[in-house]
Amino acid sequence: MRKGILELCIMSIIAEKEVYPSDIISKLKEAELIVVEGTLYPLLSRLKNAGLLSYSWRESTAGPPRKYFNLTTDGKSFLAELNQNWNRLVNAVDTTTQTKRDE
Amino acid sequence: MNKTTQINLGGISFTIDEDAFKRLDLYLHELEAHFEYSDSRGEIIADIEARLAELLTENLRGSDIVTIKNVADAIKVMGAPSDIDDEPVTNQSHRRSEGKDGTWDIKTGKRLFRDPDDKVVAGVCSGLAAYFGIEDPIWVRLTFVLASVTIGFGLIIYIAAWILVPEAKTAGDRLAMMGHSANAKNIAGMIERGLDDLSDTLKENWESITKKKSDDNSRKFFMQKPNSFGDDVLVLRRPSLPAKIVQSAKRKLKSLANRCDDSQYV
Repeated sequence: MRKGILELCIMSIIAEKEVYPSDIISKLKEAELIVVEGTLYPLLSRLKNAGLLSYSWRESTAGPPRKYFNLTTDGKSFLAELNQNWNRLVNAVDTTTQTKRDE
Repeated sequence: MNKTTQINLGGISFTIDEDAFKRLDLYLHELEAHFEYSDSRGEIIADIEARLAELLTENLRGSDIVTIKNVADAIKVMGAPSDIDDEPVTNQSHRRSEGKDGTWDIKTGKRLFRDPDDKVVAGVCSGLAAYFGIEDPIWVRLTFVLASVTIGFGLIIYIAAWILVPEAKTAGDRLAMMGHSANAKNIAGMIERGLDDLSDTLKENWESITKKKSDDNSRKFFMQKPNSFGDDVLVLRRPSLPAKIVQSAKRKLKSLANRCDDSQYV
């Protein structure tokens, strides 16, 4: 169940603006979505291999160059699809819990 | 005092204590093993190394040398390999097919080996017994003997298995034979059992040796002057020595296994 959600969140973060992994980590940690940071890297590489993400190297002021991720066109349409599914799920859950409360 | 080493982690240079270096090195090797079947192993590890470098820089807060605590903290944040779940769809099928072709990999996690510790001819039967969870290999042996006498196939199958099935040589092989995974705790447990056996054999033999000696000595003691008494005391004291060695080795093993557990390598 967590599986698709984590992908959705990561892609949403990347959709907002180009980010490098540590930015994603701090956001996910804020939202308490991941426990260990290591989880992120295989996931990113999987999304990248699926053609949903791409990255470019950027110089950084502190330390070595960093990988900045952004969504590909495929990634954008996939994210839209994921969002749709998510909304459908939220609606479904809302409706069922709502009826329970009404009874 | 601690020896230090210079390392390049994710493009950043660190001066690192030797024990800290060993820990980091072990962690990275564990990760490599964890992502063994992933096509993007190199990339994932490089990303993780870069992040570890960042975490270490944060942890250092101006200090010059990376200590084991810095490393442990960074590893804790990154997570043990087993906590890093990846569901590589293509890779798992790859793993399974490889198991079928190359080794005798089975769903239970057990692997077929010949057991060199419990063998009559080549350990085929005891290996099979371990594989199928039969407690006493005698039943497998009897089956083979019966099959040889009645249908005649048993001997051929046995010889074929002798050639095809590898002998369990390493501790990891033996654990795989019993269906346990080869982690530090299991290996430590196995060594401990081995030490127990060793201690028992030593005790038995030592007692018989010393008994003989003290018998000789007591005979001498009665027949000769009492100055041989000193030797006798020495001989009598000795039996506790192997037990002591075994005890301390066991303690060290246990603490090692615990440390591995704490750092979540296992």
